[in-house]
Amino acid sequence: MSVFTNSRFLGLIAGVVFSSITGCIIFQGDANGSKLVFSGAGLSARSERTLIAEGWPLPRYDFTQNPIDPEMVALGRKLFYDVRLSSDGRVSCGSCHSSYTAFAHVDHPRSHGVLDREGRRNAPALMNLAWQSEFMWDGAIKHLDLQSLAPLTHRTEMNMSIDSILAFLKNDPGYQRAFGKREIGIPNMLKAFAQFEMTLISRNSRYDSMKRKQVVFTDQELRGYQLFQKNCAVCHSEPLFSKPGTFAHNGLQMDSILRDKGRAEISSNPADDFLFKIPSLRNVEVTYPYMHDGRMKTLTEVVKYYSDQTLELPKTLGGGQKTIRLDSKERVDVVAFLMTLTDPDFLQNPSFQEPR
Amino acid sequence: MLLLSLESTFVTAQSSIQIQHQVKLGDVSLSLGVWQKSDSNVSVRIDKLRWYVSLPTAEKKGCKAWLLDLSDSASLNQIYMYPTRSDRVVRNISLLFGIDSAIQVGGVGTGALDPARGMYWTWQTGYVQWKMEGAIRVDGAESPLELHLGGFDGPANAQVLLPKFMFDSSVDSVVARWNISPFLAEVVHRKKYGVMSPSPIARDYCRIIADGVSFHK
Ligand code: HEC
Ligand code: HEC
Repeated sequence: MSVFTNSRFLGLIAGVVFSSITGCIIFQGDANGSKLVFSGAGLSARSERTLIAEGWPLPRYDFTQNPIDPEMVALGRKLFYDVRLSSDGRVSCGSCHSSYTAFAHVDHPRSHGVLDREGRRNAPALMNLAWQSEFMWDGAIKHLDLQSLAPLTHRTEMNMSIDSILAFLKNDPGYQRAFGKREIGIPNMLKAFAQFEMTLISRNSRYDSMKRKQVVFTDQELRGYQLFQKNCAVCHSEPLFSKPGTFAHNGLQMDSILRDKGRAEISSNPADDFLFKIPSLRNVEVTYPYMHDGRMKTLTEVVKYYSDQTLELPKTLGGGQKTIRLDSKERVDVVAFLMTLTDPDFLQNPSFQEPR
Repeated sequence: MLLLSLESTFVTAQSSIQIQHQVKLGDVSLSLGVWQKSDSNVSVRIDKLRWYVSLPTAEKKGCKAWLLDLSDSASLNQIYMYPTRSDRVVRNISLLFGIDSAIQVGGVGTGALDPARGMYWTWQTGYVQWKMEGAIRVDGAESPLELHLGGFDGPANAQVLLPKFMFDSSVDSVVARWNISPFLAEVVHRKKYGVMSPSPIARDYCRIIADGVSFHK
């Protein structure tokens, strides 16, 4: 068995050990966090269950199709930071998704890819992806394994063809080593990306410590938490602070230049106009600018926006309306609460950074 | 019907039959890279034609999907495996045009379903089930023809079950004829020569393509 990461990588999960299964992820809980341990054989049949943490749902990802393996995680990390996978040799996944900002693209309202081409949307934070079932702001991608094909081949992102990626990987001695005994091919490359991304688990914020009764919220944080539960949690639901598989409209008007209709662009269903994936608010303090097109710069601005809104809830959330009213003092409290979702261990984890 | 529904309880072995796929404009075989008439006022030049057939969910055993490519004659000879039952005289071929949605959302495919085969919509989930590129001339006016058809979700669901073909045990090869003339007539009628993503139009096109399929001994 090999220990994958330092002991403060994950939140406390009291020793969930499935010893009867050969090769599984085992969480070993201790007071400061826990270890993610892999056995050599990777995960086996019932392994999704082993990602259990107190108060968390089971992951959506089917690990039986892609058992976690440290070599594949390392390969995925190498790929994630490799600028040679872009047509101008300057852009990697890490260019738009920086580990220091929860893998969001700070300061860039919309993403910048090869040749400074600008995309249409803001690069979202990447974390807890194993718990999600749909990806991209409009849910265009329904499986994490296939997500990386989109940026790799998109004109405004990395702008490569699948054939040229394949040729590059096959001819590069570094990748010949990194793939090891596995076939150098697109399927294994995609699975490696997904494996690295699945290790990006954030659940050691001040909020999580509070839930584990290791710290006590200040009065202000507590007020903010209560306001959040009342006003926001129907969409940004604990513990993920998103709502996997659900798209909603938080009232934003369509940008008249970008003309982004969100979910409807994929479903061709007018009822889905302007619905977007509900983003997780974990680490939201550092993932600015905000919203699918990065139109808001600060959390204060976001909360001010929400402070006088009547939102239509989608059918999947029971329909009806959600009225939000927050006065100026309450707004500050909500922001104080949002700051408790920052997870410094996640932001500074060396195993998420560019390999040296 | 009774025979079919009992099928699973009586399965004893796997047999195979060879299906040879042919693409036709009426009675004429479609050839790549040349102008051919498909109607009195319509002609087409098809440069690329690749498409998927697969096993319907209920019959998924062994190979799940075949990628057929008009430029690769070997790919057009499909070996179809089916379960046989000792007491059964009539057998049938049951094929899906397209890829079952469970496979579409099930993660990375390999073999015929490797995204490197160029039949995956990289920017969204799903396989292109019919990729046809070339040009079309209607009453002398030429337009590029670019039809990447597919989709598996909701109103854009484009998979179609091909008509079942019954045969007896003496048969070991059949021809599947894809007559695309009615489909091209519909394309001309709708004047939609470029379709690049799942949509109700792509779905309708796929249904018409499937209607043009017939099996022959
Ligand atoms: C040019 C900037 C850019 C690059 C390079 C880039 N991304 Fe992204 N990423 C984005 C944007 C923008 C989105 C949102 C796209 C959308 O909604 O249409 C996104 C979305 C994602 C998502 C979906 C997250 C979610 O919660 O839905 C994942 C996962 C992801 N990217 C991983 C990657 C990987 C892996 C790579 C490298 C192969 C990569 N990205 C390269 C900008 C980029
Ligand atoms: C009706 C569901 C809903 C409610 C209620 C809701 N949100 Fe949102 N929220 C969304 C959606 C959907 C988005 C993405 C919208 C977009 O980009 O167009 C979003 C985006 C955000 C973002 C930007 C995140 C990012 O990474 O860009 C923040 C911050 C946020 N919401 C905070 C809140 C707060 C605070 C509340 C309560 C005051 C709240 N939300 C209430 C649905 C909701």
